[in-house]
Amino acid sequence: MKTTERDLNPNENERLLAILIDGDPSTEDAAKINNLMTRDDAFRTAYLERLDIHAMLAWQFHAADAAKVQRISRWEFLRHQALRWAAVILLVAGMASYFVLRGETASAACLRLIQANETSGDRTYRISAVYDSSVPKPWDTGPRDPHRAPLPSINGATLHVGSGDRFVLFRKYNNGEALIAGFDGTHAWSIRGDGAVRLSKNKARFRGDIPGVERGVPFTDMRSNLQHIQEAYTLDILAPETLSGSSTERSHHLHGVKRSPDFRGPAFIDIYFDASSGVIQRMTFDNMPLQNGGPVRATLELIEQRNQPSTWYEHAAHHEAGREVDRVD
Amino acid sequence: MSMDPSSQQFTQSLVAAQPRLFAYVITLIRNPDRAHEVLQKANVVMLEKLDEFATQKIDFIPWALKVCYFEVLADRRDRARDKHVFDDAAISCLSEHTAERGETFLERQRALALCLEKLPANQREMLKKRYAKGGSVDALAKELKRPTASISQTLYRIREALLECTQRRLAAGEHA
Repeated sequence: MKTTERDLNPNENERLLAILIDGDPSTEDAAKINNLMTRDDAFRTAYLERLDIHAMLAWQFHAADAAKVQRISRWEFLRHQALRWAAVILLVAGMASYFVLRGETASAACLRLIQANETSGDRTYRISAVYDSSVPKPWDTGPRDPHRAPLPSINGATLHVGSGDRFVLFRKYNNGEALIAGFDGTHAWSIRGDGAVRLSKNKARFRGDIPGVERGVPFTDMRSNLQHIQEAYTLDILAPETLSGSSTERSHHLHGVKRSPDFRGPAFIDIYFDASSGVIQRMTFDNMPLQNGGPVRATLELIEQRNQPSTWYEHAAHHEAGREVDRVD
Repeated sequence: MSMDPSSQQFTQSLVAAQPRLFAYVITLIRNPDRAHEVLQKANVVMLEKLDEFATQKIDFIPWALKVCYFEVLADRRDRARDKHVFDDAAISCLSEHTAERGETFLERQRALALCLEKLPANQREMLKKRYAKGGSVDALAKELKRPTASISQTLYRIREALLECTQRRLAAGEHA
């Protein structure tokens, strides 16, 4: 006769499920479990649901020991492959650019992204952002600091990035007034409309609320940004996919899930990059911490790769001659 | 040195499938450390069979699950002296039903990550220690100076809360 969950004491079911996950069932319990597993759909489903959580927690938290696991995996792999077929040896050789096992793949991908972004010249990204409608926005309510101007929405902004952490960010207020901010390798600067240029030696001074994982601007200082990503996120390489509107056939996809809320940054990160060049095509920050009315989701999409004149990242390239300059800390 | 397209496709499929294959193996083996070991062995077997994959039009996931299944059975044989909870019939039945559930692993993982964000810090810390490599309920009980049964029950309750939260988020489409 088929047993159902109703026939069995729910507490007994719970006890058996708890033992299955964390304990060591007795011979008598094992017999009960095997009987239920093959005959009781409800018990089996309950087990599979709980094992699912068990599996995901193990997958997520085990990654904290990724370095250790990677070394074991690599060693294990090499030990086996010494006696194996030519195809396997070919694959091992190929691992120099494309690693097989999870952590190594993500690390290799991060390394490639760092290298590619240090050498791939000037790029332009369009930012799209989604805000939580229930949270007041700074451009509606004004800034927390009354001495500072409120920032406009980051949605629709354009971010130009170049080597040496240089960037220029264009965005607009609702009334059409422009706010341009940048870093030229030496100074950070900001210009609102036809107002004075504000200039600072503090690199992070005018970065405002540009979405990112740390306090830096995405694509600039990629080394520390990606180091932080590797530390704070469980990374997986997902199957390559073709991005809509992309000239690239298939982009590789690096997906990160934040390991703990103790780390700053969004809950999820998705980085799509060109398989051959390593240039980032799209970067998405999802479930960002709701701070100061910032976006909950932001996407940076590559729209152009074009080398700019060497002076283009300086403020003078973005206003008429003779504009007043205020030096600030 | 670059790989030929079929090797590259194979490698990409193998890498992308790792979380799903891990979930499959752990369902049959229960112990995370052992599940990782078995998955590593299955990865090596799959790499050895690259030629087979390249010459025949094989659907990767069902094939990879089958390789993992045989590695689970081999692991059980290797540990014949150990007490196994599941008998052969239960293993076979679980294998079939687990394979069916694998499609949405990524969505479920995302929903779980959101639920973990809401968990009190002390509970998160318990999970972190329980699921760290080599972590166990016994070690946690010793560290927290609490009875093993009490730790086991606390972990069960935390996971129940996470299961409920994850299912609620998936139903509401809040994982995307």
